Amino acid sequence: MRKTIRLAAIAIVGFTLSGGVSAEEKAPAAEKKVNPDLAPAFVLKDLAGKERSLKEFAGKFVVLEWCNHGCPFVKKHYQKGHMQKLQEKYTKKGVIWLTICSSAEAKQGWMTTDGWKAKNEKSGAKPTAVLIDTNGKVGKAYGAKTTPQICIINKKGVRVYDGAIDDKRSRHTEDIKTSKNYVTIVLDAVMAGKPSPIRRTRPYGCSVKYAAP
Amino acid sequence: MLLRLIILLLTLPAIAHGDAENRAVLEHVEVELVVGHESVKPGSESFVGLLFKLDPGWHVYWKNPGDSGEPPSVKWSVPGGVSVGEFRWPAPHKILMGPIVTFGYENEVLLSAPLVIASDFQGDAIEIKAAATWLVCADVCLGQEVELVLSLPVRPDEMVPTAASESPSLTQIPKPASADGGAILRKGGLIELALDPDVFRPGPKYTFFPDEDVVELAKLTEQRMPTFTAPRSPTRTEPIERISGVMVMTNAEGRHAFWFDVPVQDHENLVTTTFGKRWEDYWWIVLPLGALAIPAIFRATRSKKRT
Repeated sequence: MRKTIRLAAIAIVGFTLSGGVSAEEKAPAAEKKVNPDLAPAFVLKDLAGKERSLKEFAGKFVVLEWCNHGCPFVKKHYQKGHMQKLQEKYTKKGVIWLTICSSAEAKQGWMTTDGWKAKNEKSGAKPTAVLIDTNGKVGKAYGAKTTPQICIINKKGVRVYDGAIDDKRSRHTEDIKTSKNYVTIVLDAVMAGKPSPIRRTRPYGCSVKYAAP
Repeated sequence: MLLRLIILLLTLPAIAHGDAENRAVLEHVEVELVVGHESVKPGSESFVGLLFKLDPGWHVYWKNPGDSGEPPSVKWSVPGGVSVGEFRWPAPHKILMGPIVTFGYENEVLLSAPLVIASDFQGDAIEIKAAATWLVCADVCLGQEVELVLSLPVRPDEMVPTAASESPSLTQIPKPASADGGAILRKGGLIELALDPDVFRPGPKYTFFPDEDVVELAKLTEQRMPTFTAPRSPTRTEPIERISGVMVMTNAEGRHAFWFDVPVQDHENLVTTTFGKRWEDYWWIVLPLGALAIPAIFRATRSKKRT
C-alpha cells in the first residue's frame, strides 16, 4: 500500500516538473531562425537584356516597384508624374529604384522591351532599371499581389517595408495630394539612420497578372 | 473620317453618362439605378440601388475587395426630407486570380441602400441622382464612372414593389448574428473564432469574408463549426481588438449569410491574467488535486485486491 502512495506521489511530482522543464526547453530553439525579412536573391533581365541581380546593389537602399501600365491604380500614379518624381528624387540621392513587371506574356501590363522603352520615354519614368519577370517567380517570391506594390530593402539586404505606395486606396489622381506616401516616409527615415516607422501595410490596386497556374 | 471621329467623340460622353437616364451600358457592364417601389408615401421606407449586369468572366468588388480591387462607391443626391443610408452589401463570392484572393460579384448583383422619406415630405416626386464609380475586372481592370437619374413618384396609394425588389441579391444581405461568442489570438498568430452555436451550427460548410484586413486570405479555408481558425494577416500591424465579417453557411437550400462582430482576446494576456505565464505556476492547482487523488487511487487498488 505504501508503495502505491509513493508511486502516485512521485508520478504527480514528476509530471509537474516535466511540464515545467519542457516549457523552458522549448523557448531557446525558436531563436535560431534565419531572418525572415531577408530579401530573396534574384536575377532578372533589364530592358537592354542585361542580367541584373539584387547582389549587384548590396550596400545601397533598393526600392522594388511592381508595375502594370494598363492598371488604373498605376495610371493614377503615373499620369500626372507623381511616380516619376519619386523615382527622380530618390535615385538622385543614390537609391536604386527597380520597376518590376510580373505580368505573364500577353497579359495586361506585359510589353516588349521596345514597348517599355517607348513607354518610359513618353511618361518620363526615372527608375534605375525596369526588370522583366514574365514567369512571375520574383513577384511570387516577394509576395507581390498588386500593382502598384512597394518593397524597400536596406543596405544589408533586409526588407524594411512591404506594401502600398500610400494610404489612399483609390484610383483617383486627385487623392494623391492628401495621402501619406509610404515610400517617402520609410526612405526618409531609414536613410537618416532611423528604423523604418512602418514595416508593412496592406497593398492596394489591380491584381498582379501572373500566368495561370 | 475626321468628321466621323468628331461625332464619335461628341456622342461618347452621352453614352457613358446615360444623359439623365436611369440606365447605362458600358464596356462589359450594364448598370441601372433602381428603387424598391413603383411609388412611395411620406413617412415610408424603400430602397435605392445599383443593379449591375456583368459580362461573363467580369466582376465588381465587395466592400472589402480582398487582396486587390476597389468597391463601387456612390454619391447620392436627394431632395430635403429624403435620406439614403449605407449600402447593404450582399454576401460576396471568392474570386481567385492565381495566388490573389478577392471578394466580389459576378453575373448580376444589386447593391441597395435604405431610402427613407420623412413624414412631412411635400412634393409629388423625388429626384434621385447617383454619381457612381467602380472598378470592373476580368483579367484586366477598368475604372468606370456614370451619372444616373431617376424620378420616384410620391403618392398616398399603397406602395407596389418593383421587379428590383425580387432580386436574389436581397436575400444574400447578411442577417446580424447575436453578439455571443468571441475570438482568441493564439500564440504564433492563429485566430480562433468561437461563435454563437445557436446560429453557427456544426454540419454545413462555412466561408468567412472578413470586413477588414485581419486574416491571411490565401490561407482562409472553408471550415465546419464549432470553431473556425485562420492565420492573422501579416499586413495587419495595428492590434486586432474586434473581428467582424460575413460568415456564409452553405447547405442543400443554398447560401445563408450572417454578419458577426466579436471581441478578440490575446492568448498571452488571457493566460497571464487567469493563471500566470508558465506551467510551473500551476503547481498550486496540480498538487492539491494530486493529493485528493491519492486516497482514491489507494482505494481503487485495495478493492482490486479483494476481488
